[in-house]
This record gives sequence, C-alpha cells and structure tokens, in this order.
Amino acid sequence: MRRYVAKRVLHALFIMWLVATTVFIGLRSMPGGPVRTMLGQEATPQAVAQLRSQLGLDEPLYIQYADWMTDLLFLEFGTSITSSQSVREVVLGAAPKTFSIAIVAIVVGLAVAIPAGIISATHKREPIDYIATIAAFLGVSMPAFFVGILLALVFGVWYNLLPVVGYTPLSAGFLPWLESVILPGIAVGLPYAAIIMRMMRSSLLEVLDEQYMRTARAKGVTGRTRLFKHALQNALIPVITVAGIQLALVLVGSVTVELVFGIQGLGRILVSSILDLDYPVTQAVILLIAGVMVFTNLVVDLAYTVIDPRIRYGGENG
Amino acid sequence: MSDPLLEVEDLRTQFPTERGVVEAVDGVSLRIEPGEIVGLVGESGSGKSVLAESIIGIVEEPGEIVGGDIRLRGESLRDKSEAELAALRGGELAMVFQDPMNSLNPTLPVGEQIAETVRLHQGVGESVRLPAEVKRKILGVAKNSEAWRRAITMLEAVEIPEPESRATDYPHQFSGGMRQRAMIAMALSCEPDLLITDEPTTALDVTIQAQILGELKGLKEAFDTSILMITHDLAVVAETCDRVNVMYAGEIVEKASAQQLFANPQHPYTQGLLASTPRLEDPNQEIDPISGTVPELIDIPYACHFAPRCPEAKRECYDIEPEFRPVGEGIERSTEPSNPATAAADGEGRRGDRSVSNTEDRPEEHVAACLRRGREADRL
Repeated sequence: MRRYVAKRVLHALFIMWLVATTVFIGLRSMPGGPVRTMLGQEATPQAVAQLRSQLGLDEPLYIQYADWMTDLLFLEFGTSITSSQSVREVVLGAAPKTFSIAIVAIVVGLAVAIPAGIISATHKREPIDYIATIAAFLGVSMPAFFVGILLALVFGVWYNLLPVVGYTPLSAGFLPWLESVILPGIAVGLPYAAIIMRMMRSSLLEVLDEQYMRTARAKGVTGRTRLFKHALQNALIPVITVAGIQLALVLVGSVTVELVFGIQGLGRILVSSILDLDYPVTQAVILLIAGVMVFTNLVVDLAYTVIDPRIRYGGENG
Repeated sequence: MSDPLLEVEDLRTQFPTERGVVEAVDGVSLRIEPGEIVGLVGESGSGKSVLAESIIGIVEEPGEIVGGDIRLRGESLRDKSEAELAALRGGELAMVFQDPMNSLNPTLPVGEQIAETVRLHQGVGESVRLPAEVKRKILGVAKNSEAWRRAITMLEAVEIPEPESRATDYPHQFSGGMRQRAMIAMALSCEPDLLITDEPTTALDVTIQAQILGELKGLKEAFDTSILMITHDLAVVAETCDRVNVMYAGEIVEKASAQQLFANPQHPYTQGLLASTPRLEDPNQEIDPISGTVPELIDIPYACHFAPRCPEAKRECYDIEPEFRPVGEGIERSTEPSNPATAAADGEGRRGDRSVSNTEDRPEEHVAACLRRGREADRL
C-alpha cells in the first residue's frame, strides 16, 4: 500500500510537470504580450523594451522555461505582472473562496444525490422515481451559473434571506461564512448531484439484481438491512469513480458562479489573468487546479480499497 | 407413511411479460418426507428454479404464485406474512444456489455472512436491527460472539481448512468449491428442516462436484435435514437421491424412486433424458438426444406440454389434459387419461381456453414428430 501511494505521488508529480510545461508553451504562443496589454497601444518602443527586460520576457524561451521550472521547485511563483503583488498572495487570497464553494457544492451534491438515487432505485417506475429523474435531467441541462442566478433571485432578491454578493471568510465565523457560500455552493452542487444521482440509481438497481442479494433474501435478511448492509457498499463503487471525475465539473462550475455572486475566487482570477496575459498568475492557478484534481483522484483510488475488498494495490493479497 | 415435511399441491407460479403470461410452474405437486433426499430433474427452462424460489417464497417480481399451496409440516406458507416467511427462510427452509461465484456478497467477510444467518435465526441474543448490523459492518464482527464461533464451527463442518482465519476472508479469496462449501455452511448453520439445493455442483469441476455431493449426504445425516436436490444431471440424482420428480415445461411428468426411475423409466420424456445421457459402461452406445427444445412457457396450446416432442404422442395428447397415475410399483407418471370422456370434461373446466385453439394443425405436428422419430430409428 505504501509503495503504491509513493508510486502514485511520483506519477502525480510527472503530471504536474506536464501541465506546467503545456501551460508555459500555450501561454507563450498566444499573440500579443503582457507588456502591450499593460502599457497600451501608444507606448513607445523604449518603454516596452524596458519593461520586457525588467520582467525577463526578453530572454530566450528556453531560459524563461528553465527559470520557471527552478522557481517551481522552490514553490516560487513570481510576481503578478499586472498588479505587482506576489502571485502567492493573489492565489492564496482567492483559493479559500473557491474551495469553500467547492466543498459546499460537494457536500450538498452528495447529500442530495445519494439518498435521491437510493429512493429512486428502490421505487423504480413509481411516481417518485419519475420526479427524481425529471429533476436530474433538469439539473444536468441547467448550467451552474443559471441555477446561481435563479437562487440569487429567489433567496436573495425576493425573500432577502441570504446575501447575493461577496464572500465572508471563515475567520469571521462559521454562520456568516456559510451564508455567503451556500447559494453558490448549491448552484454548483445541483448539476453535480444530478449526475451522481443517476449513477447511484443505476448502480443500485444493478446490485439489487445480483445473486448475492437473492442469497440475502433466502437467508431471511429483511428490507432495510438488505439495502444498507448488503447492497449499498457494492453500489457505491462506480458512484465514487464518477464523483471523483465530476469534481472537474465542480471547479469549472465555480468559475462562472463566482461571477454571478461577485466573489473574487480562483475562477475570476484565472479569467482576468488570461485576458491580461498575466503569465505568472495564470500558470499558478492552473497548476493549483491540476494539483487538486490529481490529488482528489488519488484519494478516490485509495477510497476504493476501503469500499471494495477485492481491490488491493501493490501486489498485496489481503 | 409419516407426516410429510413439505407438501406442494397444484402450485402455479406465473410471470406476466409483454408477450404473455409465462407459466413457469404450472400445477406442480410433490412431497418430501423427513430425512429424504428428493431429486427434481429437468432440462434448463423447465421451471425447476422457479419452483424452488416459490417454495421458499423469493420469487422475483413481477412473478407471483397464483394458485395451489405449499405446506411445511401441514402449515400453509401461502397464508404467512412476509415477516413470518423471512423468519422461516434461512432458519427452517434454506437454499443453496447454482452459482457460488456470485452468490456470496463480495463486500462482507465469509464468516460474517454465516454469522448473520445464525444471528437471524438461532436466538444467540445479538441484535439484528439495522444500526447494530451497520455498526458490525463498519467496525467488524465481534470475534468472541456466539454467532461468529458458530460460523467457524460451520466452516469446519464443511471442511474448510483453518476456519478461524478463513472466516475473515472475503469471497474473492475463496475458490469456487470453497465458496459453495461456504454457501452450504451458511444454509446449514441454522439446522434447517429442508435444504433446497439448486444445481449445487453445476458450476464446479467434476472432482469438486463429487466431494461436495458426498459432503452434502454426510451433512444431511449429521444435521437431520431433508434435501430437495434440483439438477439437470442424472448422474447426480443416481448418486444422491431417494426419490425423483421429473419436471418438464412447468409440470411434473414422472415420479419414482431413484432405482425405479433408472431401471424402468415410464414417461417418454424420462426415457429421452436417460437416452441422452452418456454411459461409461457402454462407450459405443450412441447418445440419442430428445429432438426439439423446451417450449416457451407462454400459452402452450397443447394439453400435454411434451406432446410435440413425444414419440408416443397421440391425438388426444394435444386435446385432453393428461392424468397423473401410478403405472407400477413406486412409480407414477403423467399419461393419457384412463377415461377420456370425463377427463376431457375436467380439462375443459380447468383450462378450456387453451385446449380449443389451433385444433387443425395438431395432427400434422404429431405426424411430424412421428416422422422424426422414424428417421432417427432408421439411423440407428
């Protein structure tokens, strides 16, 4: 197991390097450059040249690449070109907001999806199953930002129950924090829930048809014990996979939802830094998001070993 | 004769489908005496497994028992509630399934799956409510509990080596034969009065098959259990059974002691089954399979379900409900009625809708059957 984790971490580092390199090349091949954006069209060639050398952009690409890689080794991300703040500060300022939304989204998503999927599967072809199915298709077809606008309208504007703009940090208290992120969290979480709920339903239906479920019935295990003790764990295996992969949906969703709720999260920083060609910030944000994805997928793979006794990594035999 | 342990009387189990009602069990009667091993033989699709599931009350929806009765020691199981039946299942009535690879839950240790049955039926004073079961699932089973000790004893009884450590293994760590042994251990853990084994050795290789059959016979003595042995394998019947019921297309066509059945089969279907079984002592004997296949059990239009495949079919066989009667010492078969007139009236009363349709084309079918039979005879 330990060897497996070590292997996976090395694997993850390789992926991070690949992402870093791709981002580096991708950004440099975009037309224009940050200096032009900063100084405007009327800037004198001297001013441009001066700023370029100040930012190190006049160096050949391979030198810039080597610099960026060495900086990365020491977790040094440089300074933002547009705001002259350190990139670390910019990213650390924004990350908690996005992660707050994402965590609320995942909690809401799973809390809605798993019970709904179970009810739907155990009441197959009954009205409640149809209602859940329709709701799930609505959830899948409505983008997160649209759900966000609806939620803001209903709970913020019409009923004035929750704030519709801004973010309160957790340090200001749990409730104010939750109030500020619950709506964006739900907006991101519902489309996520819809997909997981469908997966939960089909996976549970399949398990309920398995022969070991018949065995359980034949030895006198009754209704709910059969469902929760015998079926659920088996049904969760594919659900976990989807929940891990669809985490990307949560992160993408929060980018647009942050705009709706006026929260300066990673999404907004990413978009504005790309538009401004603020290389260091873009690179750092993308690396952070890639890191989160790689890490959660590692966690999902390790979760399998807990849920499915047939899966053991690293050649262990039980 | 003593009081029978199990009596099944005119049992009917049907499955509504889009294309019509499948009459998987169509008026089956059989009885099992205490301490007996009774065989139930037939081709795939003849309704044997549905009969077994009907007896222990686990017919999958939308299938349901629509008629007849099942009595365990004289008490009708059809009158019982689901909760009362659940209390019987695994306790007095136990079942071993065909496919040991998929019949154990992959996420529960083997020992726990046996211990759970013990907790449910043996009154060992351990809670079987959902919270207690979920807690056990998460924290593991208490190794000093009575149920766990009993599970280990059972694994030992079915000859699983090192039962203490094996009990904590998951099913995927067991071989096919061991899994079937574990299933048998589970089924016998509460000393059932009746054990139904549905093709218990079909999925296993021959050496393991013989071992398991031998063990089953030994365990039957040790636990004083009757067995209903469902199989399509006549060799298994010869090896284990006291009496045999031959099932075809949802109906029992012949009942006999195992000896009688092999020595003197009466029903043409039984004769066909025996003729299609290879024999060791006569390797040159040609295998003579029954032509055709088991019909789909939807609205079979002829009175005797076997008529189209039967070498002895007469015109009446298609029209008149066959009668079940003794045809020798200890042997009964389904056959043409002794008194066609009254039987025809009975038949009309019972399933008149069926026996009137398609009267014209039946003689041709019979001719075809006879011709087929003739051709096969020529070849021999």
